[in-house]
Formats: sequence, structure tokens, C-alpha cells
Amino acid sequence: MASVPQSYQSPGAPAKPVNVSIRVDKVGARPRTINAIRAVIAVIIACIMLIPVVWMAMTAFKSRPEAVAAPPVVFFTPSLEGFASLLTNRRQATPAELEAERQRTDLSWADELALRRGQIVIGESDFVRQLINSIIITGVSTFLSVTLAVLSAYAFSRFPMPGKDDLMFFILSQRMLPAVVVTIPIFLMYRSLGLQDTHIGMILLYTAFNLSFAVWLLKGFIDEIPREYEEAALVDGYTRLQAFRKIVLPQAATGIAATTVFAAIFSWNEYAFALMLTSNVARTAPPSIPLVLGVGGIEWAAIAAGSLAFLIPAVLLTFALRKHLLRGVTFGAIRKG
Amino acid sequence: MATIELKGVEKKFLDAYAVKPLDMTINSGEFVVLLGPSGCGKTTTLRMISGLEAVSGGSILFDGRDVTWLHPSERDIAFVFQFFALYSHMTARQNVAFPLQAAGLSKDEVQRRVGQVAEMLKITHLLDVRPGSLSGGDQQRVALARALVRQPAAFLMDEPLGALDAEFRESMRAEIKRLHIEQKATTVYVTHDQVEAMAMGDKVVIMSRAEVQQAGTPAQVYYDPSNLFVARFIGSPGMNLVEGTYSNGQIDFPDGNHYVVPDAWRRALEMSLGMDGRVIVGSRPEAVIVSPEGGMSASVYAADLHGGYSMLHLEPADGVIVHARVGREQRYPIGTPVRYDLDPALVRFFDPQTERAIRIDEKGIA
Repeated sequence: MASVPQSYQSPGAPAKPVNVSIRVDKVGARPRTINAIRAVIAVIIACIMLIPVVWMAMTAFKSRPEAVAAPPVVFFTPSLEGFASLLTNRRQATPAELEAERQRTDLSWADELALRRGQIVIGESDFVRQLINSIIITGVSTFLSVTLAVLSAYAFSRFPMPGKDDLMFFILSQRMLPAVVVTIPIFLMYRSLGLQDTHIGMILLYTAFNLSFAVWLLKGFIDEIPREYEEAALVDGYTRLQAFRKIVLPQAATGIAATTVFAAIFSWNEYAFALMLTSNVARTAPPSIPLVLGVGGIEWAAIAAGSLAFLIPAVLLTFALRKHLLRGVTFGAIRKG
Repeated sequence: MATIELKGVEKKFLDAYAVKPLDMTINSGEFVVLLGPSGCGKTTTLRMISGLEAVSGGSILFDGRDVTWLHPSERDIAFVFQFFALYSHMTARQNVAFPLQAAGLSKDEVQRRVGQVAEMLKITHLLDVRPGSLSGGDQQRVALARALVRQPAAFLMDEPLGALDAEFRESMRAEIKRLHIEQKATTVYVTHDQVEAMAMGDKVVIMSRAEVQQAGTPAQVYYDPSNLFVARFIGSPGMNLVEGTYSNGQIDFPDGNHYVVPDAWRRALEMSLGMDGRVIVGSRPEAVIVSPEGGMSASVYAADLHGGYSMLHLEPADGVIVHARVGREQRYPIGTPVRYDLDPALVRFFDPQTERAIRIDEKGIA
């Protein structure tokens, strides 16, 4: 096996690997200044956008008088009063009860905070359980809808099938009726099927609702992956399923991440179905947050604390997938061109 | 290395033929080029050999073993795609190692073979780079390495140089040819570029309208085209084709010229031509001899200098152009009257009715 002589290096081909971008817009003083200005503008816009969120986070740690103070308080001593109200059920106590309570030494932080306001804790609130319900229902339904959608989007993208366009339209049409229109029929069906107020019922519903959108979104992403990628794997000794797993899935990572975020955010935020179809067992967080009104006056700190707790999982998910999402934004732009 | 046989292989889409029933044998170690205009069925044929496309009829044999309905992964072939099909989420090394991992080789063996093939293709220094940051030529080298690394029974290449710049194409052509000679690998190569086909193929199979028009060595398809399509398609410019009428050993052209048919051809022409004696005379530009003793006359329509030679465009009559290849030192101003003749060894004849070439065999007819 004689080796190819050195002269077979193509003329003009780089002799060494090109590891760094040599794009002209990445060098020079002028573009650098422009980039700096862009960054400053982006930071300013981000700050403006974040004010309500920051305000909510601040309110969550304010005491009751600070939360409703006018003019608003910006600097304050953080307090867990809002969280105490969020996580417990309380009632006004009689002076005798309060005196007895003060004598005790085994009070928890929530008990003490309640005591300061003349209340005693009579039990845990449902909030934590509802947040866990939200996480379970969102997690499982997102996993199911994205998994099923990847498989069907791949089939729609790659294989000839009779009536493909009609089927795709049929799938899309599943999403055409607004939730409020179908809530009552589904409520009645779920009642006879015993799916009302169950985790499985909500997971099924959210999976079905997300599926049509997820199939369409993912089909677009998979259509962009050249068939040759899989064909190369097929002739190189891999089965169709192996090629799907080793080639298609990594190539579609961006699309899968984007679809996951969309599906998860839908399930996480869903309000109408959750309000109608769940009560005690499977109630999710969205219908319950507005109910955290508290005893004697609106508990703004508790509402803010609930909203903050509800926001955090969505932020974490998006943050975890940010690499894929950002790559999706840039890749899409380049591939189209 | 395998012998590939196609027996009556065909492909239909609905009722239209993409490839009409086709018989072909590709011998072990042979470099066969499928050549034709786009849409002629050459890529479909290649994909049927690979198993990426199912046949509508017929059978495919590798070394006598029927592989018609085997999955591509079970055929022991390598496929090189026009757009390389390198996996962008893997480095060059992982790309090259990918087929070996399917075979379940040990890590050390995989590394050894990857190193070896990288050495051969001079891409060792590129192995840890992702394909996205490689030049087109280097990407195709990595793709070739991925094909070579498994030492498959046959290489199938679908316009592997089509996506490269002209500059790279020439050097990669030589590289592929050289690799073929070193590896003695059975290769089926699809292209629409006749220069590529003639330069690389041991055998050239010319396809058009879902059919094989001619299969032969580059010299055969060039000098002995089996029909008018091949005569026009091969060569740049194609064969000169001028229609005339044969009678008594002589062809009369509408422009008033007469061509005296070489003795060897007379019987064949008399046997094959219709009553009206209509015949098409074909000649490659190098078969047109421009000299004062020539039997036919024309005037110079244009002359192009091609470096080593000149191409004369002769106009024996309005609208008819005959190309003649002459030495570069000869100068012919436009309008010069010239006399020319056809080299009796290189002249060919076609039946205008069937568009097929008339051939001389032992009985004098085709």
C-alpha cells in the first residue's frame, strides 16, 4: 500500500487544521467597538425587561407592610413571611392561645412568623404538593409528547405514505379548537372514565395537546437533516434504528430542545383544563396560585413567593437547554442561506 | 473485491421507468463509470446496487450471491456522497471510525486502521477537527477515508467531485484514480462530467432516458459510439454528423460535396441502409484532415486556439458546421476556402432511421 506523494495535497488547501474562525467581522478595532456597543444595549434592554421579575422576587421577601407600602420600598430587611403564608394554613388566635404559644420553645420559623401577626399555624398548605403535581405532570407529558413526536416526525419526513399531507393536516387540526371549547366535553368524558382529578388523566391530555404541535415543529427540523447522513450510516453497517439513534437524534438535538421547551412551558402554564379537571389529588400550581389570598387581606408577599417558586423550574429548564437553543437560532440562519 | 452483476434490474416510479431493465457485469477490481445527463437513471442504478433504493424487478449479485433484498448494511459496500455526508457532530476521526464501530472492532484496532487510512490520504493532521471547518477537498478526503477504512467489497461513488471547485476537482480525480489502482477496489462511479468519466473509467457506461446507450472502454465509446446520442454526448465538441445519400460507393451531401466511402464500408452500408440510401456520416474532429488534396470543400467559419491545437469550424454549406482539429501553427483566417477529407480509419456511419451505428462484422453488416 504505497502512500500518496506529498504533492497530492490540493493546491490552496490549508496545510494545518483551521480551528479558529477567521471571519473578518471578528477582527479589527471598529467591529470590536460596534460589538461593545451592542452588548451595552443588550444589557440595558435586559435590565428593563427584568424589572417586573426582580420586583416580584423582592416582594416575595418583603413583610406585609413593606409589600403594600407607598411609595414602594426598595431597600428592606428580607423576611420569609411570604413563604410562611404560602406554605401553611393559619387562623387568628385568641389572646389566651397566643400567650400559650409564646411559652412554647419548640416553635418552627413558620410558627414564629405567624405568631408575630397574631396567628397560629393549623397545618401545611397544599402549595408544595401542587408544585410537585405540576412537575410530575409537565415532566411526564413533555417526555411522552416529544418522544412520540420525534418518532412520528421522522416517519413523516423520511418514508412515503399514502395521504401524508392529509395526515399532517389532521394532526395539526387537533390543535385548532381552543381549550375552553373542549373542556366541558373532556370533563364529562373524564368523569365517566374515572380520569378526572388523576395524574394519568392530565398527562394524557397534555401529551395529546402538545403532540400535534411537536410533530410539526420536529418534522421541520428533521426535514433539514440531509438523508445522506442516514444513508451513509446504513451502508456503513448500521441498522435503520441505530442510524436514527446515532445520527438523526444528535443532528436533531436543537429541534428536540426547542420542542421540549415549548411543550414543557405549555403544560407548565396550562390553566383552563387544570381548573376544570383537577381538584384535590392532581391539582397543579397555576389554578392555585391566585387562591393564595390569605386570611384577612391580600397577601402580596405570599402571591409573589408562589409565583417565584412557579417560575424557577421553567427558568432552570430553559437554562439547561440554552446551548442547544442558541445553536438552533444561529444554525437555522446559516442553513437557510 | 467483488464482482457485481445486475440481471434485468429495473426501477419504476408509478408507471414511469427510472431505469429500464438493465444487464451489467462489473468485474472484480474494475473502475466503472456511469455517465449521462441528469435524470438518466445513473444515480438510481447506483443506489439500487447499494440497497438504498429497492429494485422494482431483476436481481443483483455480488460474487454470485444474490443481495437483491439485503439491507445496505449487509452488502459490505462503501458509498461516497456528492455532499460528503460527514457527521457534523463528530470529529474527522470519529467520522472515519464510525463504520468500524458498526463492525464491533476493538478500540486499538479501530485506532490502528483509522491511523493507517489517514496516513494514506494525508489527513492525519486533520483528524481532531470537525468537518465543518475543513475545506471541500479535505472534507472529501475524510469521506474517502471513511469509505476506505472498512476495506469493503465495492466502492460506490455518487458524483464525489461534483461539489468541489474546479481546482480541487482535478487533483482529487488523480487521487481517487491512484487509490483505485493501489486498492484494486471494484468501483462504480457516477458522474455527468464526461472528462471525468473518460479520465477515470476502465469502462464507461453511458445512460440516457433510463437506458444504457453504450458500455465500453473510454476509447470504444469515443471512437465507436453505438448510436447518435453517444456520438453527440461524448467529446467536446461532439462527433461531426452530416447527413447525405449513399449510392454506388459514394455519399452525396446536400452542399454539393461528395465523399468516397472506403472499400471496407461499402458492403456494410449497402446491406444496412434503406432504399433511399440516407446515411449520417460521423467523424471526430481529429478524423477531419484539412489538406489541399482533400475531396471536399468548405470555408472557414471560425477558428479557436486551444493551446496545444486549434479547432477549425468549417462550413461546407449554410448552417452545417464540421469541426476539424489542426496543429496550432496553422492559421486560417475566417472565410478562407479549404479542402478536407475524412480519415478512412476513423470515419463512422449511422442509420438516420434507427439512429444506430452501422458496423462491420465478419459478414459485413451489423
